[in-house]
Amino acid sequence: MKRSGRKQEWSLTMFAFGVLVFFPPLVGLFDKPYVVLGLPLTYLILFGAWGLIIFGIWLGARPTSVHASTRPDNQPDERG
Amino acid sequence: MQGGLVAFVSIAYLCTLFAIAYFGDKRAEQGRSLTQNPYIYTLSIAVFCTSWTFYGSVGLAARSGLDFLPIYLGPTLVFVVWSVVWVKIIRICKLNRITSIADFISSRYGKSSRLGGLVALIAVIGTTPYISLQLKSIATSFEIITSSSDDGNAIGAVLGQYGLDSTFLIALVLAVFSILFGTRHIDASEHHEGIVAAIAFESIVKLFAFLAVGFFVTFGVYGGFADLFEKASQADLQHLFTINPSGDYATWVTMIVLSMLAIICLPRQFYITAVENTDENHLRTSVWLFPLYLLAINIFVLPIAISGRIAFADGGGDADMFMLTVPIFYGQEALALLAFVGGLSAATSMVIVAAIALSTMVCNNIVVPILVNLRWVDLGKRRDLTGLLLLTRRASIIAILILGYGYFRIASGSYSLVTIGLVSFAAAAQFAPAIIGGIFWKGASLKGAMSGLALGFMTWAYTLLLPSFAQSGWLPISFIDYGPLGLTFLRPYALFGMDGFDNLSHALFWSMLLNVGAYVMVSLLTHQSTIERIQGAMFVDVFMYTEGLKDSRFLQGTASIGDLRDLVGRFVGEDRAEKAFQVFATEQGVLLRPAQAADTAWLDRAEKMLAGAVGSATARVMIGSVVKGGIVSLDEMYKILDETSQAIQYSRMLETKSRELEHTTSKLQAANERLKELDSLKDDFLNTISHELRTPLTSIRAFSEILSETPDITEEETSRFLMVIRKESERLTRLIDQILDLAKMESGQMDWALANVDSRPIIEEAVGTMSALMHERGVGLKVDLPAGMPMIKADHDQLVQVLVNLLSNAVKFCRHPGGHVGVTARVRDGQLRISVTDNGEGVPDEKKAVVFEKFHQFNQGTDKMPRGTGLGLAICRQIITFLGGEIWVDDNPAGLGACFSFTVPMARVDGYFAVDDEVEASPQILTI
Repeated sequence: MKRSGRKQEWSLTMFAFGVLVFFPPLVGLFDKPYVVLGLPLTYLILFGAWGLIIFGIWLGARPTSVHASTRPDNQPDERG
Repeated sequence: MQGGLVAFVSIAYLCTLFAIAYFGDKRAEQGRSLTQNPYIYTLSIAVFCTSWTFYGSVGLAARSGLDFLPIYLGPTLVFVVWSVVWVKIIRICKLNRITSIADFISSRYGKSSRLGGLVALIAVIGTTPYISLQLKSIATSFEIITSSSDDGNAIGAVLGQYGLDSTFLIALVLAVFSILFGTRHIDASEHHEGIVAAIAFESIVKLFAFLAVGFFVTFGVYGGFADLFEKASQADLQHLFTINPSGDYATWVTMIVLSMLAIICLPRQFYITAVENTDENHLRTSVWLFPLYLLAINIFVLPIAISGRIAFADGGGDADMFMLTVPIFYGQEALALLAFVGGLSAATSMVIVAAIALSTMVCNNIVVPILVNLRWVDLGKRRDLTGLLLLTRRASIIAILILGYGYFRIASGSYSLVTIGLVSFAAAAQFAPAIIGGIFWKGASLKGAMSGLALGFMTWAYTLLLPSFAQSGWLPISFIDYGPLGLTFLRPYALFGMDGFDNLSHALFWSMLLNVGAYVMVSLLTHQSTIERIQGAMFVDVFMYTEGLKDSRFLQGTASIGDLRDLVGRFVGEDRAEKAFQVFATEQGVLLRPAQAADTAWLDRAEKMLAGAVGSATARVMIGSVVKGGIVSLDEMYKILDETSQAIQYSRMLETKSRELEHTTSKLQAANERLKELDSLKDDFLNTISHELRTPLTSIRAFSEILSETPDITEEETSRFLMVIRKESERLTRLIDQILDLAKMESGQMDWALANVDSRPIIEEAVGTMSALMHERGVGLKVDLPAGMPMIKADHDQLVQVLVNLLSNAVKFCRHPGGHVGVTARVRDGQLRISVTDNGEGVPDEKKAVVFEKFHQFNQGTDKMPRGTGLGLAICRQIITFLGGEIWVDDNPAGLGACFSFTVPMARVDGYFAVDDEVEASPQILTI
């Protein structure tokens, strides 16, 4: 598998985002028994952030286009 | 629900699994793989979701809200950094043919078999509670779903008579399944497609069952999420909406970290993600699809938990079993049955994969290294070890499941599903420093990994495992409350007085502190061996090696390709080895030549093939043992030499060799002496022969010159001279004839005329030939023959020759006055013995052995000049030996002189044997 440095940066950024959202102190901010849009706030934010991260992984994990990577003048944009 | 129906559905489900696994294997054999696609791969990774997820999450959510989520958020975070962690691990596994987590760690730290064994041991001990958890969930769910019926436990009752239960039956079926589909081949890195297909199927079933119950509860019982959460608020269950509003997130963080480590370090996860991976590119899909699977299976956990709390508001019902009890409560028995099957699938998939992964470790990292070390010779001698390896793996699977069942019977009663699972997670987490450190830090050393793992594991056992035994009554409960022997600062749940944490965070803190601390400190303070440095570089820089920047080959030596093939064949089967070597030769674009010296590529390949069967550490030593030449690393040399038994074997071989050498040397020396003697004999003989040839030749020449150059020679003189010339010519002819005869006899070209002949005429003929000469020389002769002379098997003329030679010898040495010669014959032991005696000077003792030697001249006599050709006796011996007799010389029993005797076997004709041995009566004595 062809790997590139940009993918790793993207991965680490998403990882940092996950750690930020799921770990204290941020988690304490929204961990309150409120109900928003019919759903508990914590439930909403945790699953929402989770879904967002999954989307982020999907963006980063798409195979790099062969055309883009063979043209030297065109730096592939891994983030799509 | 009726127990019979539930049992039937369970059995039908397991049969479906068998069918799928069988079908998967068949397709793989036909080359039309079912499992080599990213979706099946992702579903197989979902083996992470066990009955703990299926039942335990709901139970936990029903007690404390969103606390159950870390177990799934952690893996998601790890999959975020897949390109840093997973690709690297998978690449390393493929490159080194890693078969298990134990193999991975031992391979990283210099292919140490001790470290591999330790990891395997920890994995077995750590996983046992987890397996028992699955068995417990199957047992409990079976009990719950059949409890509404009278005949609920018909099967249970039967088994109960033997002290067993249906759980034992399930464990047995799972063992059979794992053995059938997990241990068919021996090369573990060749992937078990049937198993993967079955596990993927199970992942679909458990997700479907979970979503079905979730949909029913959310949209069937309630009017959607909003309605459900509103009812929950009315029921005063808002505290379930949060993680922990009081702001204490220690447990939360601990669990996220723990599950991050677990998704990599759990033996079954490592196995299914890294070892069973067939294509790195599948990761591109699974890295987002697997977290999505986790999200999907968790969406309805809270709704089901809340509905359970509302349904069983009076506190009745086990929260861990809401997946079953809630559908039953609402009268949905079919749905409950589906949920039961979902739980069954979650539990069985974990048990199957864990059993296979653990059995591979037990076999490759515990049993085989012990066999190699203890019985190297025997193991080396066995032709085919495939059977032994398979047997070991199968036995391990059974043992592991029995162990899990035992823990279930003993300890699981006192714990909830979640607690048991976390104990296992914490054990697996102990591998994390060695793995993560191992792939990013080249300086990490074997001693560091060993001490870190050992300390971490001991701390885990002390702070989590032993207390669980105490709570089950195996140890006094005071152990938890007051510490061992009342040492309160050693309380397992509050080590050194650290309280205020939950048990898990407490255990994880101490075990990780000691584990990481020892790992780092010992690594910094100790030196790496060469092989550790090589492996460290291989693991950390794996991308550099595989993407063509460095050469990954280190071994050089002089094993032949055939040697390697035989070695590999013993472990993976000869046909498979042969095929694999052919394939590799084709890949290399060369012909397979077994006698050719294996280059590094072949050694590399063979080591990896072996590693698949017996683990990398053992494979290394084995390849080392066939590579006779220069192994680059000195450590490797010592490692092989350290094998005590081998060293002993070497020294024994040396001893034998040197003894053989000594023996050969002495033989060589003797041969050399003999050669020298023969050489001098030859010189003497040449002297003699030239003298013997020259003497008659000189006479012939002198007399013929006189005859031709002297005109006035008298007639009388002429006839005298002619007579001399004639006699000398005869003598010359005789000499040359003898030489020719001897040469013919020795080279086996002599024409023998063997027949049954009468012995008397032979003796008489020889005596007659010689009698004139004796008479002339004044030598007396006495012939003493018995009355009934036997028939003998001999060559008439040659035997006459022997006698003539002996008689003429005797006459030669009896020229003094009064000399006489005697000939006697006797029949004894079926042989005729003839002796010729004389009263000459005799043969001195030291000469008796050599007088029969060819060229041996007997220089006795007054003039000390040779009197014969030195061939007469040699010819006699040749003839007698050929006839099957013996010839020797003694002193004359009657006084001075020698006695030459020989034997000849008698003819095998009836009647002549009847001649008495002692026929000495009336001897016929012929005296001349």
